[in-house]
This record gives sequence, C-alpha cells and structure tokens, in this order.
Amino acid sequence: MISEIQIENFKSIAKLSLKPGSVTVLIGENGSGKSNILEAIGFAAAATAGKLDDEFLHTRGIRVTEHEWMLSKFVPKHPLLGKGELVDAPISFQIENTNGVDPLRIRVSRAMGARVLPGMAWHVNPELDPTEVDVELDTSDFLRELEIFRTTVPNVRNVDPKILEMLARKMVAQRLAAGRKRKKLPAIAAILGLRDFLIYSPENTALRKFEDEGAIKPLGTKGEGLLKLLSDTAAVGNGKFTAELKSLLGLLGWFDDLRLPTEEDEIRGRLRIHDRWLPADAPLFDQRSANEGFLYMLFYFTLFLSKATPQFFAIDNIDNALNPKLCAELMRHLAALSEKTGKQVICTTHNPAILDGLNLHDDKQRLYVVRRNSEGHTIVNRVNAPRPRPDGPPVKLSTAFMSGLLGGLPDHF
Amino acid sequence: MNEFAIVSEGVTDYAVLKNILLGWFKGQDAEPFLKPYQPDPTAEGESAWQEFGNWENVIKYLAEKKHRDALEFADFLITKRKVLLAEGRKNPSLEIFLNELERRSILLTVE
Repeated sequence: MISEIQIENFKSIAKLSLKPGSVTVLIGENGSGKSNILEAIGFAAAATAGKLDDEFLHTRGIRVTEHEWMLSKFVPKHPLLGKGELVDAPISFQIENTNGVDPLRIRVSRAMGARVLPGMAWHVNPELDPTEVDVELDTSDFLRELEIFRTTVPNVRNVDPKILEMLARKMVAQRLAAGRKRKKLPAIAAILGLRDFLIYSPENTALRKFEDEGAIKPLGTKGEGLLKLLSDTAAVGNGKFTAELKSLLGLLGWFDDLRLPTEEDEIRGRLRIHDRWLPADAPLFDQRSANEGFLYMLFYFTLFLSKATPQFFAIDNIDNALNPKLCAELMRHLAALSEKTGKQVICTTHNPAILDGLNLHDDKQRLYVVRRNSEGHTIVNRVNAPRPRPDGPPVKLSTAFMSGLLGGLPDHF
Repeated sequence: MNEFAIVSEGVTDYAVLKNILLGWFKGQDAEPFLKPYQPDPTAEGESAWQEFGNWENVIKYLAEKKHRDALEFADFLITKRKVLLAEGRKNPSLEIFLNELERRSILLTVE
C-alpha cells in the first residue's frame, strides 16, 4: 500500500505531502487543488510507465493543458549550467510504501529545444542512490559521452583535462544508471499498485452503455465498460462476486435482484434487474429503466469487488447523485470492502454526508482538508478524530464541516 | 499541532489576527491552519460574518459553550483576553469556559 506521496511543482502544488490511508477523503473549497492532487498521482503513474503523452493522460482522467501549465508557477526556474538561460524546475515525486520496496523517486522535466518530438515532451529521471552509479565504464560509452559533454558545455576546453574526464565519467555513469533504473520503474509501479492508477468520475450516460471501445479496460474514467465487466465476470462463473454485489445493492430499498449479463444479454446490451415492488413473475427490466443512484452504486461496488480493476485509484465527487444517508452508508461499506480486497482509494467530495461514513478513529480511514496557503499554494491538513468533550458524544463530521469546525470553507465572504 | 480556533469580535479582528499569526509562523514548514468560529463563517447573506464586530459576540459564543465544539478539532483557541479580564467570573455564563480553560490551559491571547 502507498503510505506517503510527496509532490513538488505540479499545477497549484509547490510542495505537498499526503499520507493516504486505505480510504482517504479530500474536502476543500472549489479551486483549492483537490483534483490537482489526484492528477499529480496520475501523472506520476504515467511517468513510471514512460507514457506522458496527452492521450494517455487524458484517458486516465487528467486534465491536459499546455505543458507549461502542468508545472507550478510557484516554483522558480533554475539557471542552466554554463549558459545564461533559465530552465523549469522538474516536477518531482517521492512515493513511500508499506510493501518493503524502496521509495519511488522520480523527476519529470520538460524536454528542451526546438526539435521536441510528439510524445517526447517530458523526460523522466529516476533519482539515483550513489551505490547505483557505477563509474567503471566501457570505453566506447565514455568517449561518446565525452564528446556530447564537450559540445554541450561552452569553454570546456579551458578546464583541466583530468577534472573534465572525472566529470564526464560521472555524467556517463549517471546516465547509464538512470537508463537501467528507468526500465525497472513499471515493475516497481506494479508492485505499489500505482501502475493502473486512474481518476474515476462516473457519468450517468456512460454507465448505461454496454461498452465503449475508446475507453480504458476494464473500466473507463466515466464508468464505460461497467456492464461488459459484469458480463465478463459472469462468464467465468464467479458466484461469490455476484452474491456480494447483490447483498451490497440491498442498500437500495427497492432493489430485489439482478442477473449478471448472459451472452444473449450482451448481444442485447442489457443488465436485467428486479424491483421488489413488482410481482415476482413480472419480467425483469434493464439498466435503461434503472435510476442513476443504482448505476453509481453498481459501479462503486464492482470497482471494489472486481480483481480486474486497479488496486489504487481515485474517485472525483463520490457523492454524485446519491441521497445523503446513502452517502454515509456507501463510505462505511467501501471502507469495509477496501479492508477485505486491499483496494486503496482517494475520493473527493463537497457533500458533508460522505464524512459521516468515515471512522477517523480507524487510522486506515483518513480525511484531509485541501486549501490554499497564504501564498496560494495547495496544501493539506489531516483532520484527526475529534477529541473527547465534557458533555457527550462528539459532533457529527457533517455538522462539523457545515459549521466551519473543520475549515475548508471560504473565509472571504 | 498548528490549528487555531479564532473567536473574535468581528471579521476585522479576524483579519488582523490572521495576519499576526501567519507572520509569526512565517518560514516554518507548516503554515498554521486558522479556523474562524466567531464571527460565524457559515452565517448567510450579510449577517454575522459581515456585520459590525462586538465584544458581546465573544461572550455569547463562550457562554453558549460553543468552545467545546471548537476544541474537538483545534489545538488552540484564540479569544479576547480583555473581555475575559473585564467580565471574568462576575459573569456566571463565562464561568464554565474559564473552569474548563484552567484544566486544559491551551489559551493563547492577543490583546
């Protein structure tokens, strides 16, 4: 599990550290930077895969802008070695984990120069430990790099040849070590569950469609492919999955039963559902007649129960289309499911009812207020479990949020 | 441990306290988290949050024992020392606050 994410120089984030639990909820004003935190994690995941092209980022729920706007405007540029010009500071990530793997440390820089090729706009540099840099080099590698060094840095001929050789040797060794380490990044990201990270923001219309060819498999960011995933799960005869899903959907008062799509249903593009108010022998209706809340619940529970979905992911505005009491109950269920399935999730919300489903006395469930500091940088403050009070139980978290006790409300009007 | 509940007379006092505290802690790793509780940040329209400040607002807030809500989620409570000095135990409605305060000793005062 990922235990800490440090982000530097991304959108509204100058420097930030988030220590997520199994279930983490972010609250905060509009524009405080909640989504930027999620996008930063998605960007780090894409960097480990070496896939920082706009299309890859977009399909993972990251709002792509011109590259200079992916960088924070709060971090000053650096002077370039030996030249008068300034260059952007890199976007940096450090991701700690409880899997016993070394922290993942990478820097992502904008590619320089006029001949930037499509898909090559970013350079990913893994941070190296001194032990990983082997200065005993093959001569041909060294000579090639020495020439690059000579042409890159002006006035290099005035430098003592011994110092020059030492510098070049170090530079080459670092470059080779970085290349070796870069190749290992996807495997490390896979162990951490970071590899398939994406930001879900399900939409009613996408959830009702059976399949969408253009989206990520098995579930797209808008919830595309939900019914196809259910169909695939049914095809392998996963009775336990079906039983759990049905039991969870019992949170909806009208729900009686559903049939995971058969081959015929898949051709017809339908998921069949039964309402308990209808006669037992009434024909089953399909998802086009189901309410929006049902589809969202079906999506969240499938996301948590399925083995095919990512291990670590985010959900933007998890309260969408749900009754307040259902919001709280959904969070309780998701916390229990994450305990069982090992899924790790970060959610954002503006709905106070979501908070009532969190048990902040359980360290695996965490709540953060995201806010801008006095200089406009996005920062986070963890909300700890309420302290005991002399006159009874603590106030509900929803009440605390609404009455300003947690912060995260505007203070300029 | 850097969360401050602010119980001030009005919004101008809050603005001044905010500047003092941000300045005081400037340069530290974590900027303090200031949470205004009086005036009520959730007041609607042009009511409490924007109306003229008044020291009686502070007494009212404390007398209603709202500081107990505040201290569930904040490390420190900042309020008007002058009000407490002037009224103190003469005012029975402040007595509960003062008694609880003595037990927790977490008051930072700014005059």
